[in-house]
Amino acid sequence: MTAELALLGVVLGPLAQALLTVILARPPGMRDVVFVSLSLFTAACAWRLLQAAAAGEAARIALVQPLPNVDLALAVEPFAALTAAVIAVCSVLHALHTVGLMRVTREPAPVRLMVFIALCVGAVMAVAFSANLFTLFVANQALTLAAFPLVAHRGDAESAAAGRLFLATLLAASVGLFLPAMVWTYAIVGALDFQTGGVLAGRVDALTANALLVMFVVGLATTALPPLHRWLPAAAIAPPPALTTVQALAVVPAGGIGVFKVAAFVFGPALHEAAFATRSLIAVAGVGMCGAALIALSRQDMRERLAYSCIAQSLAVLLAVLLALPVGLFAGALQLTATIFASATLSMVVGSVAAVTTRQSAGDYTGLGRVMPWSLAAFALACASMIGMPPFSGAWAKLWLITGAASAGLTWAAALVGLAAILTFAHLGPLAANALAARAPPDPFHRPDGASIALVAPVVLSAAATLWLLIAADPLAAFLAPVWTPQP
Amino acid sequence: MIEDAIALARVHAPLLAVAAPIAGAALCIVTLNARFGWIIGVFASLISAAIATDLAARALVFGAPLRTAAEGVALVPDRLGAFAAGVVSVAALLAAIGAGARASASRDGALTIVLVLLSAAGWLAAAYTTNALVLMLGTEIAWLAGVGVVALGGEGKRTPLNAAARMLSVGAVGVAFSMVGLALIADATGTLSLSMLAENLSFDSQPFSVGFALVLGGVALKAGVAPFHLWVGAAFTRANAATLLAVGCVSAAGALLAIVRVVSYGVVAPEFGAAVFWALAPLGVACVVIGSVQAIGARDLRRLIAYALTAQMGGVMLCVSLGSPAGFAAGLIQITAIVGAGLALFGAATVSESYKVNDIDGLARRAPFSSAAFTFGAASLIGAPMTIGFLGRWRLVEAGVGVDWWWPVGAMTLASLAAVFYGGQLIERVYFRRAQEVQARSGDRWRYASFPALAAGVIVIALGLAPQALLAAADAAAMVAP
Amino acid sequence: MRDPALTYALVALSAALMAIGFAGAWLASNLAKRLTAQVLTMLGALMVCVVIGASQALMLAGGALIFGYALVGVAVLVRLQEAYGTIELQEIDAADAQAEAQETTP
Repeated sequence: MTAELALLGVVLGPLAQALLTVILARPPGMRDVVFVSLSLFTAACAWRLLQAAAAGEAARIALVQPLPNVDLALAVEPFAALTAAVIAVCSVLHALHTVGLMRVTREPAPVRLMVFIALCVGAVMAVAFSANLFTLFVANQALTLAAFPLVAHRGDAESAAAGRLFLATLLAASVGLFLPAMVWTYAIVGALDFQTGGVLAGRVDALTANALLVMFVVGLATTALPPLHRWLPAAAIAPPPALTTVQALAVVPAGGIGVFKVAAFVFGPALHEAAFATRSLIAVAGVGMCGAALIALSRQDMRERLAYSCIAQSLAVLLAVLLALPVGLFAGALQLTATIFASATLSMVVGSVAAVTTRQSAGDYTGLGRVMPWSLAAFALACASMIGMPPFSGAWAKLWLITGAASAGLTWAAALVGLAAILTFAHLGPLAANALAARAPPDPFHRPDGASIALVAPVVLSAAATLWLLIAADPLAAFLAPVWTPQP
Repeated sequence: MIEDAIALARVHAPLLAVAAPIAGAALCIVTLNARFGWIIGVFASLISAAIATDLAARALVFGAPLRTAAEGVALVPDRLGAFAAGVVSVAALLAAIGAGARASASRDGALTIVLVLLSAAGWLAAAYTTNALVLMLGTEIAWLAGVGVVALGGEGKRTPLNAAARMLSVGAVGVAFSMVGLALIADATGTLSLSMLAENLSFDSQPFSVGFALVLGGVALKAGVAPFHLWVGAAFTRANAATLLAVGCVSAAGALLAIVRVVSYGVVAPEFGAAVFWALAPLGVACVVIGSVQAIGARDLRRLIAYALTAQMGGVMLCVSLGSPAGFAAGLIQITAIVGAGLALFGAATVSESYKVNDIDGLARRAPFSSAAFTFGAASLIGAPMTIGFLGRWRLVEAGVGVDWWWPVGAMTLASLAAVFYGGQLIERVYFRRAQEVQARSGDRWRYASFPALAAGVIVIALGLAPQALLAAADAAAMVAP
Repeated sequence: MRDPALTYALVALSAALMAIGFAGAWLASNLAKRLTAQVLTMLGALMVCVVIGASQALMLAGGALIFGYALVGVAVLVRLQEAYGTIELQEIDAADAQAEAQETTP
């Protein structure tokens, strides 16, 4: 398979997955096989692209050209290949978990859920491989539209309100801020293509750079930067597979990918021109991280607690890439990939627990590890990674992040990251410890036979993946180096 | 033989494009049979559209000369006019198909088709002339025909008659403005030929500017530019397909294009250029704001669409107020977007027989074709990427930023945000709401009526995906010779 | 040769005619009166053209347009009288409002 073909496959695979899931909706067994095997196909394409990026192959496909000098195009670069591969692997596990969950919960309209999950994955792949700002914008819009039915899936008044908030926040931010920023960039540069070293470097004055940076970053509301973060806790009402897609696989990661690309390929050294905006955004992100982790502590509903936890992790990515240093970009990439695995594990486990035991409150997790040992062990690993405990991947990300912040002279930012880690420990650590160590709860379970293999295997594998950075950190730095080293 | 005929037709293209609908209208009057009249009407519009688009393509994309050696009665268009006629004639064709398909079932069917054709002929004449008097005459004939279309378009309801009376009042004021305006222009410059203005700049610019402003005001009344759109709500609330398509889309396009052309000739006078800016830019912002607010507040579907289009017209005013070729080109793209979205949305509203906003709840299940047209039209209104609406706004913002002109950019951003609200609401209702019991039975009426809506929707998307030819044509058209 | 004072006086007179017509078209509640006022407005405009000394083509076109507007106006008036049984604007608007209210609350 050529890299171009794989690039097409990685975006079209999920589309085909959605289409075939609809066509082969009955019998359910057929539907499930198609759903899982096509996500394997997408993962294979993503793997091929990872190899292509490692080998330094350049691949770019342009689909249409709706504006002069601006086309809808996908291109391979190391960061995109890395995040896409991580998301694709995670989405295979998630597909398996979704299939298992559908069987347990007898969810109404499972096909609709599966279709839009697939479409979200396709859209986030397009976000990752977007070759220019325009494609990023279009893919983000597509992702928002594909995720909206997931958020509003239940169809009651509360879901409808959550869906409207979701749609209104994300679309309004991207149309109101990102789009004008994009046009402004076009007016300055005459093109929108991403470029190592940043297209704006040396072409903007301080005022423009500051304004543009704020518009781009706030416009990417999928990062959940306060005050545009309310959509994420509101979306916690979605059914578990949808929630995993929104929090871990597609929507929140798309925000991280977006700010990474903007910081690395649009601004580059021009971030130094925007010192004021950078500092302000870092401050907002840092305080937001601590605030979100604190609010998470007050939430008893596990889905909401995870949502706030997720905001804290997502803001860490934003903070890292805004440091305007290669080390910051590296920390951002690590944080993003670590978060995807950890957060996917957590929300899948929460889904399993809700399906098997109907428990959703943090207080009810006490002693659950005695009855669902594998799932809750995975939960504990993922918690450790989210907190940033060595040797899990989250720890490396936080370490680089704190180092980066300190070497940028922002000791206070490093302190905020440390504080957020402590607060994250406060809302996840005791929970995981209690679940594993306390005595088993006496009341009977919703499903006495416990979780099926389709529910257990994905979370265990995904939790195991939180350990991979232990061995992969150095090769990863070499792999990602072209992102911040301009080619001659 | 055939080549000779085509060559001859090309020499007289403008005249033929105007004459075809008039001849069609005459034939309709002779037969006075609605169904037969519809076929004649569609055929006449088709001929007119073929000639006009051929002329536009030859002149704008392939650079053929517009001034051909024609003898006798001749209309000598300019490049902007060729573009305008292309847009108007295609819109008129779709309107004739959609209007006739429904009108043929009603009492005044044949008469409606006659008036739709006359209206199209009037706007085409206004597009193809460079004489201000002929431009005014064409505009007024089209407007009177439009009033007739509205008056006949009751579908058993009498409300449209009331609207027609209002339109007549507005039109009469417009005529008075235009006449005085033309007299002032003629008095100051000694000519009513717009193309001669540039050669004779040694005139008293004050009466000239006042005259131009009056003429512009007269046309703006007819386009339905806010705040001069008092007749819009009444005319479209209970309107039939003929009214919505011929008056709401074709007339709006014709009038907006007339504004672009008049301004493009007026800016040769430097003082007038500044005056145009100060007159049209606030008007554009007001139009955007008023239209958006009214569209957000509307509970009546047809009124919502009409006000949404009004908000878009504000964008055209902003483009035109730039007074530069880039601004005119952006304006042309936006007008094309307005017509496309209007035909798709109004067409879908009539085909699915939706009156209130909640009539389209869950429409996707029972009327997939209308829903697709709604989606395409609303996406273009929002300015979603890869629709022509996006292209229009992009061009405006680009032109504005090019001259460090930030507040229209802000206005367009606000318009887009408002459009996300009302356009997004349309799409959300179509796909994500459940129909109420009462509506569940009315589905797609698969008649010829749904063709124009769907065709307009497809054009909106196709031009958004592959806009090179349109952009080239608009740029060529906007190169106003100094 | 035009006498400037006379020209100004005539322009003022025509403008006054236009203004009266305009006010009538805006304020009259009887639609027949409204139509008459509209025609007056346009006649005032035509007089302005005559006084300024506009071309014959413009005056001819203006006259034709006034005739056309009057004709369409009368036709609409007749249809209104047939449909509503009145040409008083308030009564017509009230009838429309009532019809709309009936539709929204079935």
